[in-house]
Amino acid sequence: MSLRVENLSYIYQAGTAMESYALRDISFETREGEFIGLIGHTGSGKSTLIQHLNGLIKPTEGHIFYNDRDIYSEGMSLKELRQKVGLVFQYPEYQLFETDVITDVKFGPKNMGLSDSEAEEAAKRALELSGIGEEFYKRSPFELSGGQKRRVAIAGVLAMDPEVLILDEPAAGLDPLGKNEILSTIERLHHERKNTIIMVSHSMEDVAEYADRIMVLDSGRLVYFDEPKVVFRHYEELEKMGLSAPQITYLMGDLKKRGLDVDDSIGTVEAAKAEILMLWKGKQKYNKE
Amino acid sequence: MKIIDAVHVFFDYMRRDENDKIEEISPALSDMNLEIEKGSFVCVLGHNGSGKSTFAKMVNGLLLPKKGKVYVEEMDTADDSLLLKIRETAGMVFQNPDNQIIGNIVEEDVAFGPENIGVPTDEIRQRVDASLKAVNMTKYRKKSPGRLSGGQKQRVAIAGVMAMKPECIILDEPTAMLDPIGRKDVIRTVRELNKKEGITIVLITHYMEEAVDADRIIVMDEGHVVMDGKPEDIFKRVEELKALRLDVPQVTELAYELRKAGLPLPECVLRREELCDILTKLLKPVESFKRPADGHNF
Repeated sequence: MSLRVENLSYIYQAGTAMESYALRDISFETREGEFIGLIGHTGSGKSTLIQHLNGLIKPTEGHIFYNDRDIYSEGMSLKELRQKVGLVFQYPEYQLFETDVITDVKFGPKNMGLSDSEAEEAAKRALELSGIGEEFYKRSPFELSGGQKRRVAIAGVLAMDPEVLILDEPAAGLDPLGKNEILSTIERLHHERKNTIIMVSHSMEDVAEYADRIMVLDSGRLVYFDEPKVVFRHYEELEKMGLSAPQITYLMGDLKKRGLDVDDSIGTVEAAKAEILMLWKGKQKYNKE
Repeated sequence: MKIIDAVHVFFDYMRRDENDKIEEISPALSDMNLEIEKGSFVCVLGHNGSGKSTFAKMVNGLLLPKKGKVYVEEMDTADDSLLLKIRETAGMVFQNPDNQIIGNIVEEDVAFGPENIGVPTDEIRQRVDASLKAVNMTKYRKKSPGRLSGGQKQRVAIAGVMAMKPECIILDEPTAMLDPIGRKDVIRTVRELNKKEGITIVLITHYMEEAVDADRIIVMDEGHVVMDGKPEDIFKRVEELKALRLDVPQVTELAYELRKAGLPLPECVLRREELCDILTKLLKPVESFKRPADGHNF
């Protein structure tokens, strides 16, 4: 499975005096089963870009390839593409509409043409993956907590068994534990099903923790696409783009400036703890000697 | 002097079926008691469904207690005749800036509130100028709000509340939809309004970092206050906070973990600069100490 984007541009109101680029000359290719974090300031084009990837928006210029086939070439079905490339919008719980949880999640697979029992199986698998227990199947989705609703909404996309899962700010507005539950659900999917994940986020801490590579958009241009530690090393440039590095990366940078021999590209509490403990143990050993 | 006083407040949401029969009652506030001092900066934390937003809506009379009383500057929110005055005293800013902006031009949007209550034109002008200046958006006054970033829009929304000359602003997750810089700008703006203009701030948030500079943190659970104290007293209770679905800032968490592993650190560290100072002192190499050659595993 691969997604490849070549020289993609999207222009609002093309051909008029108001013409403006939402996306400009973007090219990239995803790797099999990788977890990509997509960051950028509000209005940088993140949502516009992900809507291109499953054919909801047609590029003004450039091409999108799914498994090396142009998604707009003859014989490609956009309906099928949208099953393979699942898109979870921001605040997806607003899109729940059925009377109970299981029926809501079955909607997608039934729409794909699966029989009722097949759809039910798919829905159950998706709900289990999303951490929603059987006791919720017959409950109204509107009785659930914010985090639960969101997991049901994500299950609705998972039930169609996508190869690529794109999520637009899946943790926005959730409390810290709700956020961790959603993000670890996504990570579990990534590990168990080897799905390629593209996650849009405003939290540098979250992408530092989960992403294999980070894609940075600034005013419609793709400026970085690299491992977190490489991207966050550019924290000064990121700040100019309305972004930042994780708090921990700044701390490690401060420590390095003060003359401590630490890795200043660390982005998670866990890695920082290990790094500092190592220095501490080294110093204690030295003191003894 | 207290500006907000909630006394034994109860509230529940009712769900009715097609025949208007009550199907389910879910309690949102149960025996909530809280006094907020005038001029203070209070941060309210709590998981989704803990009652934070319900409480916020009580303060300016968008919701009324089923039992108990809420007073704003000693005005009872249940007294209809005082409602306008209460809403001028306590303004609200919500999560999504796009739902709060109505004007076609920034300054028109900010003027909407005072216009609506019949403030004379000259004074409206003064208020709009002062409000835009307070949120540092003066240079965007002639712009269309649609062209602004999320953080800028949220600052325009705050200016709109400022133009009503409130004593108190309640912000319900104002940064949830913003990028990091937008978040910083909004929090800086709110802090300045508190320091320079003496406006009481009640900030509801899920970002623990934003609570670090508050005078006081309130933690809510099951519809009432379960913790109340200074940031350093609240954030040292790491395990309790996690049990309440909350968290601590990354720096605080790292310090806590290092302390558990045996480093001599204070009980609670809130700021990066502070942790940096302490760690530098602890770990600064003595003479020619170098990291062990085999120790680099990153």
